[in-house]
Amino acid sequence: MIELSGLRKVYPSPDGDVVALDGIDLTVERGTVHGIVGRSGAGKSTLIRCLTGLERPTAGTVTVDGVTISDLAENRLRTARRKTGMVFQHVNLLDSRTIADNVAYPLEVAGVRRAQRAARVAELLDLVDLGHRASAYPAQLSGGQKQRVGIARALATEPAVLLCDEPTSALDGETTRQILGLVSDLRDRLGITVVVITHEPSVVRETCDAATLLEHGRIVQSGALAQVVTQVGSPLSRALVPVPDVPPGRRRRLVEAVFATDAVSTATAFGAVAALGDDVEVLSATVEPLGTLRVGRLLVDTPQERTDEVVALLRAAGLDPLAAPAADDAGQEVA
Amino acid sequence: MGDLWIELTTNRVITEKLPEATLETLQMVGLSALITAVVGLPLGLLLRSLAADGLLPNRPLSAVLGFVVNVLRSLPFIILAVAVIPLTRAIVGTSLGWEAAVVPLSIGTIPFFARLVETAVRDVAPGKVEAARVMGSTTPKILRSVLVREALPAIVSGFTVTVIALIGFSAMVGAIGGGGLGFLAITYGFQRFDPVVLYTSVVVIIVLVTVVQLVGDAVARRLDHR
Repeated sequence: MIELSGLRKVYPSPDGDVVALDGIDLTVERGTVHGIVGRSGAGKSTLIRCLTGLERPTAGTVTVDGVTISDLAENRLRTARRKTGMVFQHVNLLDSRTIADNVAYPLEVAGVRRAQRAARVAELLDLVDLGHRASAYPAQLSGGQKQRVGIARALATEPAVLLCDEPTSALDGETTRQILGLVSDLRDRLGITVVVITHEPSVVRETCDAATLLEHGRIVQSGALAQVVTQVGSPLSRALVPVPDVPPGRRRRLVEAVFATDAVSTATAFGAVAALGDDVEVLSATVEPLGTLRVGRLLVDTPQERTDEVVALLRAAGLDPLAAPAADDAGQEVA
Repeated sequence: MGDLWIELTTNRVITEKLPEATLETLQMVGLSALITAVVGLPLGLLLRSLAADGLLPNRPLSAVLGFVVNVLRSLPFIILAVAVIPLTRAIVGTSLGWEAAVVPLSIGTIPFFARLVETAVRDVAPGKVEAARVMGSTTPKILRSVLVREALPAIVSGFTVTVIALIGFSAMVGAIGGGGLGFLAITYGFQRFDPVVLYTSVVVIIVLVTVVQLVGDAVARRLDHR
């Protein structure tokens, strides 16, 4: 559905060119929810702007639903954009329009007749459960309600792709869950392809089928969520199932381990850890839901001479362990 | 008090000239306001759009237009009014009367209003424009449905300020033969020293300004849904 090939974006600046994206190759399958994670400045926003055609790549191609949008002239691009819906962090509703008129906006742009517009708007507002607020203005809505209007607006022209740029970053936990639930639900019902840009690991864990980690404009890792998350030591695993920070200090040898409940139960996993003995210290651990599974990650401080034994014991119990390279103080490196 | 009432109802200047002068002021302010709105709104949008972060960035054109607007705004109004007399003669055929006053009044307030429009439009969140572009909007559609519509309460407030400035300027053009309440106050009130005429003119101007402000505020409030 989305195909990025050799994508490169360079911004010229007086202090030398800034390379925002460099050699991005990425495929997003039809009907999947794909998460793009990375720190601010990693190139996430530039990537999504290239997907909407707001930004022209310096090199490479962007193909959405069979249309190579990176090649289109501006007027053709305007029409092509209707196949892509976009949801923004700050929603960007028009304050002067009612909720219904905001949702109608993309239909006006697409030249849909007034009568058809009204019917479609009613249908969309019902889809996001806001039919009763049609004549309210954005200022009268809560943050979560506004974002639901934003989603309804993004879906108005029946796009094949929904792009979400930090859709829940301005929302509280409960509202975030509602919005993510809505996105998953829409994917199931409409078969739409979704790309979510986020810095929140929980957003990816709760909604995405696949994820890509960007760093300095390059893809560090990309893959199906269930696979990348359980790959011990992989950057995406650490990014998506982070353990609480370990304070710096003198360590013996750090062993990192991951497990998923399709292979081993949490009780078995922690039982195995408990059986390691008193000279092994669990520094940090977490268990997070991932789809229908739970994924755990833990970091244990092990006596240097027992490292191989600990790794073997954890592996035997069904966990996936990895010993950090031998060092006096490897704590920061692993954490 | 009774004396004042008798004076107001019997002074020929007040009973005959004042209504006529008020009508002239209303006409010249009304027509100038209309011209200012029709020219100043697009000019303000253009100023905003030509900026580096605008919809149609054009650095040289932006600099030239900005300079012209600044020059016109730097001139004290009374000097501008005298300086454009040849132009007024060319357009209206005379430099006297309220119709002639419309020329300097419009030239004086168009750049003022354009700057207010520019500021109002600049305050529209860039995210709204970006959202509109992602939805496939053309530039005219963005100008109309996003920039102007979202900035409308601020534009109306700016227009209110502009109309009030126009009322003040209209009294000034009275001094150089523009007619209206300013002319009445200066010729009858000041030069013939008739304080009742002078202060009655002032009261009428205060009433006009108050009404414009009240109406402007009410309209802006109705348009504002933030």
